[in-house]
Amino acid sequence: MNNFITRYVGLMLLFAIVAAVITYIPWLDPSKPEMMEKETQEKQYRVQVVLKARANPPDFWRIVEQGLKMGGDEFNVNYTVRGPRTENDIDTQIAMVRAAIKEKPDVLILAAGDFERLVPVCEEAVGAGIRLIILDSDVNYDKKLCFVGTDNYELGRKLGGLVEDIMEPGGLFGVIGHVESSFTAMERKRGLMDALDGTEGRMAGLRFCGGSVDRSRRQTIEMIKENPGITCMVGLNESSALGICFALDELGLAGDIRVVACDSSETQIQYIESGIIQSAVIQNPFNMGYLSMKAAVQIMNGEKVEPYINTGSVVISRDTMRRPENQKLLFPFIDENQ
Amino acid sequence: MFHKIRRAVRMNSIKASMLLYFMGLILITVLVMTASGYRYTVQDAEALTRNYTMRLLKDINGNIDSYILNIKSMSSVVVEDGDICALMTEFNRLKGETPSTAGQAALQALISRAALHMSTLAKTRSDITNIAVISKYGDVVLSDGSKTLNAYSDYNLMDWYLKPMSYKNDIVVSPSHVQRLVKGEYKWVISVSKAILDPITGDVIGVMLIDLNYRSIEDICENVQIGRNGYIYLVDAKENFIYHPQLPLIFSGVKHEMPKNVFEASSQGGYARMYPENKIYLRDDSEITGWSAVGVINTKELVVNRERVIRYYMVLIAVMLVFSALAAVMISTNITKPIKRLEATMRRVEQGDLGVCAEIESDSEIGRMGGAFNAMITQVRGLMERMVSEEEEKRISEIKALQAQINPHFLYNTLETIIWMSASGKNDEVVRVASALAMLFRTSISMGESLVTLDVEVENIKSYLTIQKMRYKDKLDYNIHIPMALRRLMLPKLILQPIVENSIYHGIKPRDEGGCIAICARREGGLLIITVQDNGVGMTPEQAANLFLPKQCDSGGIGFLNVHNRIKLIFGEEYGLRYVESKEAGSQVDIYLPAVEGTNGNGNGNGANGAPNGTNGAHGGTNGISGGANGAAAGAKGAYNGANGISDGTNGKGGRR
Repeated sequence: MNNFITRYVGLMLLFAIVAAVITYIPWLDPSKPEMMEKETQEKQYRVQVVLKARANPPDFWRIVEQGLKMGGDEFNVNYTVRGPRTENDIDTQIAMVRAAIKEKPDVLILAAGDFERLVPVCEEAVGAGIRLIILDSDVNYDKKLCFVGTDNYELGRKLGGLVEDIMEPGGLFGVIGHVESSFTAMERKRGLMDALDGTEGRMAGLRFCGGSVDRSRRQTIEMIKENPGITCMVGLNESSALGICFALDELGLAGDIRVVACDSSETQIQYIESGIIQSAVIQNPFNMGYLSMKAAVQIMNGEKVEPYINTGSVVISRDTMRRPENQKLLFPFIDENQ
Repeated sequence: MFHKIRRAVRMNSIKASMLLYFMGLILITVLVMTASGYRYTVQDAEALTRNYTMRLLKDINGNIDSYILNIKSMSSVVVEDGDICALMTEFNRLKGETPSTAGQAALQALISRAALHMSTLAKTRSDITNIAVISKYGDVVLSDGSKTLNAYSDYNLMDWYLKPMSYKNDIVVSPSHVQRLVKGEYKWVISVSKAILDPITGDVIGVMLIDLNYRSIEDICENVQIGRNGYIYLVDAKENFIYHPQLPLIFSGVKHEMPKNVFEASSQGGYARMYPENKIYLRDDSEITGWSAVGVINTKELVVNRERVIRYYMVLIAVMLVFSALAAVMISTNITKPIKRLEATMRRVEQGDLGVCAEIESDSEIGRMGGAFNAMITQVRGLMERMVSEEEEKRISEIKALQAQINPHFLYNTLETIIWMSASGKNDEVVRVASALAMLFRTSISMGESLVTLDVEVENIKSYLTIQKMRYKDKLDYNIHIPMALRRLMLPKLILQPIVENSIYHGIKPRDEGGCIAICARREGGLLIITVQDNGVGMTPEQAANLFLPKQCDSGGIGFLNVHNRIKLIFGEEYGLRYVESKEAGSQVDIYLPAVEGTNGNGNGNGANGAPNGTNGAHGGTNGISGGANGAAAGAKGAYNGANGISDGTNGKGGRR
């Protein structure tokens, strides 16, 4: 019996010791949460972004980058953004995509400067096992996992509707686009033409400025000089619209010829305020950046992602721009300290 | 393997069930304790985080309040400035019209003084983007002279301009919005505006505006951390966001926050819990700005700790279970060991070993049980001993009773023979028969010795046969052949006589030409076999079988069974009589006995007298009907009747019935 008591007490003492030791094993210590942070850091995904341009203007891409940054910070993504100086510098963009592929990222987010010419590099990327997400401007390649951007055909139709509202009977209109072979320009043009169906005779001209404001300005001046009957000009993107406005300022025709534009930079907003730009269809570049980054993370986490994420577009005019919801779209929250 | 499973399935041992119940009890206890402990741990963590967040929110509101109060005092510096009041009065007097050249110069001087005053103030703080004063008639003076007014700003439709007109005394703080007052500038600001009052009449003569960079509020809120994923945001009374870490996402509609009325402000840490999002919302309202600071705690963050806590508890439970199992095994072993030992002792008793004794180690219940068991065994042992000795006594008395039986018919028949012979004057023969009879009886009552030598027994049977030969004359013949070497062997007395008697009555007497009885003995190892053979009529198998049955009425088998039982009683079951079917006519009986060398005298012989009347019915049945037909001569003497009790006179023994 005594033997038994000795052994029992021994067992209990051993238990107390083991229990005490357990409490101090770091793996189990409930008061040490740092380890989890380490784990999340290890799970960081690597994303390469190649945009159409990083120049300013257009502001558009700066805002996309803002969205990318917001997403990258939120989801703890290690990402790099590249982009040529101008939107029509396709060769540079192709080279940049190649450089991005060399970094062996998990995901490549691409805003294609050209609908066709970027297909081979996209194939290269997918061939290298990189998941491809297309941002804003599509490419003629169907192995992308997700497209994030505006429905550009819809945008074109909205532009057409605005032109129809403004134009006086018998008036002519001219169109300046950015890069002819880029998907956004193609789709917007198609939407615009469909909306203005049966009015081909009224279109004075269609030019592409290659994303250059100055070229757009010159093209506008030429077009107006050739067609004095023009009462309305359409800019298919920000830089083309700005060029139109500058040209009208230069010609002293501001207010006489109405402008329908896309997107919004601060300069463009001033033109909207002053009424030179009658109305504009505004995209949501911030959401494009943020949602594409989010989609990248979701794909990596194995979650299901919609193949087409429409970030939408809104028509803004001088009268509606003061509305809070439009203010939020028009004046993206650009952090000046950056 | 099979064995193991069977043992595992068979959980009826005390040890197994104790182990099971023990573990179950401990498991439930530990789980309950752990669950409640865990709950309190989590609740504690949550309450702690909540309190901490609430304090943070109050801090933030305090900071913002003091910041706004600071701006308020700055605004009064502007509003109460004499130059500015004068400027406003002048503007209002002009009512938007251009003054005269002299007046214009004075006005310009006044404007530049006011602008200088404002720009001095604005420069003291980096967070002020712009200070402006606006007269009732829309004359705007900006603090920065290099900037120009945006002609399309529509400021007269803005809240920051309209509200001070009616509020008069207090400042008006706008939510974050884009200020479009300055040409080419679209900054997100928070506007603080105040009415400029006429120092004499107290009428509103203009509005002063201070634009605060959104960064200033952001700076206050940005560095606030609630855990890793928690955050705070500021909303004004109309749900307009003033600060949010992801304000662009809120503005662009990607993210939404809860309407703040869902969670009530409370100093006691009132909060709302959103289970789908794993979020806890806390709100604190500022009375000065009317803004609400909302803290969002991500409960998943508590889960990070929760997982560790759960893991910790799990390991602890596992360790506790292992130890409790060990303890249970130990305790149950300790309890069941003495029981098992007692059980083993009992099993030995069950197998007939009464010489055991349970070991008693303690005075526990088991110990006392062992003691009681020992006492019981002692009693049983005593009882058994007594029973054995009683049985022995009974056996002896029985033997006495059995061996004393010499067929009374024989006695009467012999006596009648003697009478008959003496009547016919055959004196010599009378003497021979009488002396043989005397000899026979001497042996039969001889001093109670139950074992005699074969020699004595042979002498005895010779006497008997002598008497019988007198009766049957030539009809009976006999020869006895006993090797000398066997003559000293011991055997119960009077075992040959009933067999020979049986042979005479059933074998020879019914045979007209008479017969011969042969008695011989031989030794086979430890066995002494005496053979009694006759060449009489023999027996049918039924008759032979009847020999060994008690209670047969028609034959003289009584003596036969008597002998058989006696031998068995004395020497054991393996000895006795055996009837042998003879090839020729007649019968043969073999007597199997152990070859016991004669040491004269046997201690058991005493008390041939005092034995109680034999209750054993070894020879029940119609005693002494040794061939009713034959002994009929004696039947005349009515003293006995077959069915009557007969005391055979020689020895006080009562044959029953």
